[in-house]
Amino acid sequence: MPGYNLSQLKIMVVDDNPQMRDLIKSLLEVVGVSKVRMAANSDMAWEILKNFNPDMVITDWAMPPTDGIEFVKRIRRDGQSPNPYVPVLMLTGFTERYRVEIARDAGVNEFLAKPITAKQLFERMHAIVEDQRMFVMTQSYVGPDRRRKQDENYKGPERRKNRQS
Amino acid sequence: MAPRKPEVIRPPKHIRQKVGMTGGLTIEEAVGLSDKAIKPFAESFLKDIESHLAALRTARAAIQSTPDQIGRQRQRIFDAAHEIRGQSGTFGYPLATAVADTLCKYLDGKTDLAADDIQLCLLHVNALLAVFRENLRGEGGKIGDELREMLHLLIRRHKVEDGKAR
Repeated sequence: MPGYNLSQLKIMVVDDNPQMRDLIKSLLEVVGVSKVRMAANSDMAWEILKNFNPDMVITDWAMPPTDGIEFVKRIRRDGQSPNPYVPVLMLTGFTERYRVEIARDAGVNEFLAKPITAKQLFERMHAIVEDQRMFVMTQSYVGPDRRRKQDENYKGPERRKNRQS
Repeated sequence: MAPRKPEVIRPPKHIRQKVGMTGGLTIEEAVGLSDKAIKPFAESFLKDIESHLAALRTARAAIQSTPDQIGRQRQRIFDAAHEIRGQSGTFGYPLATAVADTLCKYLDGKTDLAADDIQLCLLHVNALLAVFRENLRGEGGKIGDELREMLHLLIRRHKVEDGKAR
């Protein structure tokens, strides 16, 4: 595994639990990330997003009054979004499969179930650095390609117009 | 942002453009340094957990005294258990995470609780309170094994009896 130099990255952490925000910030400092901005909720995060323009967003799901899923959708779809392509890592205590699918369909790049470990957090960050997926924009979905792998055995028609030969 | 015509594009900027391919820590090296970063949060974690345990105690008392307000208590228990499952494992209490996770999954999507549900719910609440009262760190040893097995068995039996096996 390469030793990526992450020191130039700007990362925003959004979590309503102040402890969790500080803990993540502290772990980010271990890997050399010093430019970290934190927000306690999605509305605050949206304001910070506009000026800070982070290279990665790490967000919780359950946060009053607007949850992390709506926040990710806003990043991806709102005309005022400063960077609809910004990679999003969702950290949440929700572990049910259907919840993971909701997060994926909102446009999340990576999902990490709490309780977090340092190893899992760093692995997801590396996965984001190595993520070469294209970006898909449709009426119902905006975000990284949800197909993580090409199915070599797929024999049906190519439905994506700019992939048709 | 959502266009009518579907598009598949390469994002104009990639995070890699700001990441040096060498010169940083490997994951293994970073993990080795992380204990020091996590340790200072252990004390505040226990304070935070105490507030969630207090919420569980309050909900338990309210259920016993005013069972008609179960809906509100269900949400209070879910919220507290959700916080406990999300944090405890990071600070050396994976058994608490396991018990809270079972409870959250059990309550998720339930809007009303029948008498059996309440009983199961209270068993989990009591188990969570016991984990911290007895300071059952790690997997909780033999007690932890028995506790997990008992809760799983009860839930499985309840789902079968209730015709809700999923």
